[in-house]
Amino acid sequence: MPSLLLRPHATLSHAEALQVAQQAPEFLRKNPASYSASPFFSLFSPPESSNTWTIYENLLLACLRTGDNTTAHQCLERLVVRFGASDERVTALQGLVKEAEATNDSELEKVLKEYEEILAKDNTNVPISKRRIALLRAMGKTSESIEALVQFLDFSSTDAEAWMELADLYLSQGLYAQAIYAQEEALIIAPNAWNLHARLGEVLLMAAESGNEGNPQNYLAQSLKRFCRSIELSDDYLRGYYGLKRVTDKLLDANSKEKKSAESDEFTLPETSTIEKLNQAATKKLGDIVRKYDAKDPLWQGYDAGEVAAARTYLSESSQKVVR
Amino acid sequence: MLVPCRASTKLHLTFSPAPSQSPASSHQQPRSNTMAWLSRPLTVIGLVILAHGCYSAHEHTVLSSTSVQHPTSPSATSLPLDIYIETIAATLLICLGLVLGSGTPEPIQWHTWAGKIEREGDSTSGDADKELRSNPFNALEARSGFINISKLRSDFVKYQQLGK
Repeated sequence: MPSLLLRPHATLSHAEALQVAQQAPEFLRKNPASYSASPFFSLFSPPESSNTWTIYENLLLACLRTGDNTTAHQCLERLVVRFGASDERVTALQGLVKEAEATNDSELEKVLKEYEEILAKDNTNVPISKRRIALLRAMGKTSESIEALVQFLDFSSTDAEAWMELADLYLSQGLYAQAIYAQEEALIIAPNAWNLHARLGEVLLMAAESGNEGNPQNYLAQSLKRFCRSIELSDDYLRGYYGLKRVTDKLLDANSKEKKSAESDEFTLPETSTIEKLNQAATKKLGDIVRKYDAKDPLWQGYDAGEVAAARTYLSESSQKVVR
Repeated sequence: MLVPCRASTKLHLTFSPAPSQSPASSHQQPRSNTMAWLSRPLTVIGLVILAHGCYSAHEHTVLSSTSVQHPTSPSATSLPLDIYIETIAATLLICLGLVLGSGTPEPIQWHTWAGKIEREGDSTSGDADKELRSNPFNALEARSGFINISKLRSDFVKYQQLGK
């Protein structure tokens, strides 16, 4: 199952990570310990592709996660042999192994010191900077982590991953306006990423529901736009339709309660009839997706089981409301 | 359906006649199968006709250069019209056969392609080595550069204890 090996590790569930880690010894056995640069030897050795090294990295992460430290070290050793110990990415992976093996806070502090030493020499070392930020966050120093990440984005402002991390950090602190800003920056870099549009829609919806700052109606209007864009970019996107249904339900609910229009801001809500149409379309599509997934249609099995279950629950809840 | 989205996407050009709706994707398979069956004979017949056209052209040139008294006159050296027609028809036939025999094209519209990824995931694809069949932007939400390994580790231990 090479596709599982190539998926970014953090998207895997625990069971999948275990599956990947179990493939590690076999993969290590099948592939040579080092690749020769000479064209003569490359005739006899298996081909080396960029995927090989992505797989090594993913195996390393999976082994660390499942606690198989010896295999993890073997993977790391191969990476070191291939790219050299001074390679930025490999250094970050070495740090990662140390982080994983650290048992208490003082050991983590030591790893953090090492990162800072490397950064003192070269403060634009991207992988190490990211590790430092992640480690600060893991140690619970969220504000320091945000500060470091903002500094990081000063010199590497086209890093969508970092903007997303910043958005997540702000969101964990309940700073919705900042999170939305960071998320929008990420969308400027990856404007076609339909999952980022849906994510921004979700954050906006959360901001509207919290109701602490800004105009909730305004947030809802923006959120509606984002969900619409995400399903425009991707047909049958469960997450986009789910969010669209949620936000239109909320808007229709608010409209029926109070007939107060919110055209004071730059975002004006669409007509109620349009919102109703969107709601109906989302309901229909969600129903379709849930039905096809449950019917084990082979062309519709790519959805996450948890997401489908959530959609099913929400659909049944909203249909009960309609009956009442 | 969403009216504005539909209208804007009509502007793009597409090879694939399959829209995202379910009935189309289910009856697509048999159609391409019958076409594949037709394509092999069509290509073979086209090749035979093309070979015949080439042979005729060759024979005609040889004959005209030896038997005709005035080989420099343009009417004698030019090929008869039926050989031209035969060659062109054979070429078109081969093209048709090859096009019909090629498999269902991959979607080239962004939203169709993305929808396919969302619907099918990477479980159904046989040749996963060739290309990664999952949302390429998932990496932005997973953020492997910022992975929190110690938390993942402790979560995994909990997960295993739950399993037992």
